[in-house]
Amino acid sequence: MSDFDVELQTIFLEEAQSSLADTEQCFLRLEQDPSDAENLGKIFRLAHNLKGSSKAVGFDQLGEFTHHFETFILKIKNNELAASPPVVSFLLRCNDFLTQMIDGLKQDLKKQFDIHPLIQEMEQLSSGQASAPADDPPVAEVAAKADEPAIELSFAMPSPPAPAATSAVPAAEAPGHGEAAKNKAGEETIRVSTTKLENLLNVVGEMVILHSVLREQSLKSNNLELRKSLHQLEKIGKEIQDLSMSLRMLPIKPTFQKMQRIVRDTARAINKDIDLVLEGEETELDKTVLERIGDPLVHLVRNSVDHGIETADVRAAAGKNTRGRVRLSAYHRSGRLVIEVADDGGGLNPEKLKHKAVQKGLIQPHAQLSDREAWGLIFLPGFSTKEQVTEVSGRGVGMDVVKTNIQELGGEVEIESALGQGTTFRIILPLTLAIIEGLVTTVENHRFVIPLSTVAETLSLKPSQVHHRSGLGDVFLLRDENLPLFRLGDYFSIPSRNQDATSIVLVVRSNGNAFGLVVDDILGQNQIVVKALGSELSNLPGVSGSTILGDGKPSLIIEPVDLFKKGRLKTRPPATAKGESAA
Amino acid sequence: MNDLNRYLCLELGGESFAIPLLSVREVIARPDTTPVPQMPSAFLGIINLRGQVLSVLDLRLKLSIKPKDSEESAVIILDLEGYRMGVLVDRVNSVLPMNPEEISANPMEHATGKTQHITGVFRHDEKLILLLDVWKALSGEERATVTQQQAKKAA
Repeated sequence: MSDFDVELQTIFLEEAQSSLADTEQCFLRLEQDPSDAENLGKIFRLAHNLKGSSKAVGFDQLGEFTHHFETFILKIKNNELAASPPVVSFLLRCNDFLTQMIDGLKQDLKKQFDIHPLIQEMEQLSSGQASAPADDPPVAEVAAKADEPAIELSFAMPSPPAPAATSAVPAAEAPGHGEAAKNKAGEETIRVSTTKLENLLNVVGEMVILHSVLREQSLKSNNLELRKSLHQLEKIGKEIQDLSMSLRMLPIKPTFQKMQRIVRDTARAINKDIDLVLEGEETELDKTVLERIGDPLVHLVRNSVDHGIETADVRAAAGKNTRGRVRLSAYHRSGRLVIEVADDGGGLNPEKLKHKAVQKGLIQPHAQLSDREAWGLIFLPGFSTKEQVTEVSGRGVGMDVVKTNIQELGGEVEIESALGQGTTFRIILPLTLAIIEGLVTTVENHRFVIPLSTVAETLSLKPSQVHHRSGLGDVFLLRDENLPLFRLGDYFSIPSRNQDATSIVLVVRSNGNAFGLVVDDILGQNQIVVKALGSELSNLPGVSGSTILGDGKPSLIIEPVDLFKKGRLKTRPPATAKGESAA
Repeated sequence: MNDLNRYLCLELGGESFAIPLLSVREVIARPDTTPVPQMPSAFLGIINLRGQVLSVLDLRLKLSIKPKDSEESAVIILDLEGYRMGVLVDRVNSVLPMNPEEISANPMEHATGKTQHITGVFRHDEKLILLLDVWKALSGEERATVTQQQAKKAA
């Protein structure tokens, strides 16, 4: 086989993969509305294209299977076969099988598959509706499949229907496929490897640093022409940076659409009727963030379906619609991405959670917890709220992993819950991991960068606003709020000669926590490129990375919330240490 | 001469040491470092090496050798299996080929556990050169210090 052929095959596999994602969506829509002719037309076109191209590039088995598949779909299209739930389930399984074939072929272009069991089933289904179509495959298996990319091609075959009706498939050629698939997107696109994009981003990152160095140097010069050109260059640089960043931004749509399937399969497994509502599918986020948010999201969605939504009889008794609803939405808020997983279920019962946590020995029996803190218990390792362990949501492993995964992405999870009305998990993520807006602050002659996203406001500290309370340490009065006050220099053991009168407070708010962090001064607000630190520094609490400042010197990036949560921010003596409840 | 048998000779407080050339990425003049709070005193800070942020340790303090600050002190950027870090030394002398047969074992090996980072001894021009396993000298202990300090603070 020539290189050219191999290239064609590779391109085909890429394209096939994306059409299979489309067909899955179409099948799910088919279940909702079996009479949607446009949808059926699209399914047919996709299947037809798949058949045509797979034969053209020389994947004979794939071609044979898709040929049968197309014929089967044509029957549904011509109303010879009703799109009943079992038929849709079967279609979805065929889709899974095709996805597996594509994945397999990607690994090994000559891979062989056993396509006959499914083709046989297709024939049985289409020849006699009477032969009670097989039920869904055991769902545990489906659920498991979603977890790990299936490598093994043992397909979960239901026991074959009793009457083995095997009439030949009428090889009716499709009449209406003259309406070849039109390219929906008017814009032309090219494929670029992610390595190239990453290199571009790295270089642009270096350029941004050099710009800042140049700017600092130009300030020493009186050459106005130079400064002017430099200013222009900087503007263009910013544009290049934005553009190259946007190249990595992808809509969240495919990730959301995968959830359709997960909700459907999970709900079926536990006999619940659940609608999934998607909002803000076009919201864009960085590819690396997108890749890594998939798993935590799957877990949260499954959790909502399994634990969040009550069973139909409980819902009926509570006077609710027996059909549950899970809403998945994404939107941008102040430079960050928010994803919400909301269910209209029973809500989290703080008392139950506390009781469970005490039973598990996770908290002290008489611990005083606010509702918010009680909800947060579900993120503790080894916590499962449901009495029974189910196949679907697992054994309480996971929620803590969800939280860890999200934190690794620089994000956080919030919970809102109302008894009887439902629970909302809110994931707040940075749009990108590579470049952040940062405040460059000083403590004595040390410079620290604090991500702007963590700072709610900054103000100069008035000594009259600070009160010292033994047992509490310094308390800072902000409008009607009393916020604990910490000094960054204290944590870093930097004796600051600076008097409070000239200091600046950064007000940090996150997840219900609010506190003030005192620094000597703020030098400026910059776009900073995040650089990893060596592993010898990765354990340093409160430090998330480093960056290179305008003068070419490195500086640490501080995560104030991390410092606060880990109880690293100590109050000033003579106050006794304040017990951190956020631990 | 095989690269495997070439060593970079350096001086720490008047004593001669050698490290495998293969673990050396480059040698730079002593740069300004940005200090990192709460790190052991041997940890000098971080530097910007052409866009990469690297940690720099004072190898003399690390090995409890009295520093002899001079104009010649330099930072050796090490590349230990992809893990990069700089170490400050008093002087970098030369690259020496060493015949493995001429390297004898550390005479103190069994006397004390404290010299495990010395993997051998080489005699050159009537001088003794100690072969240094930088990885052993730095990583394990260094990390232990960091974690200890953290544990102390958490307590």
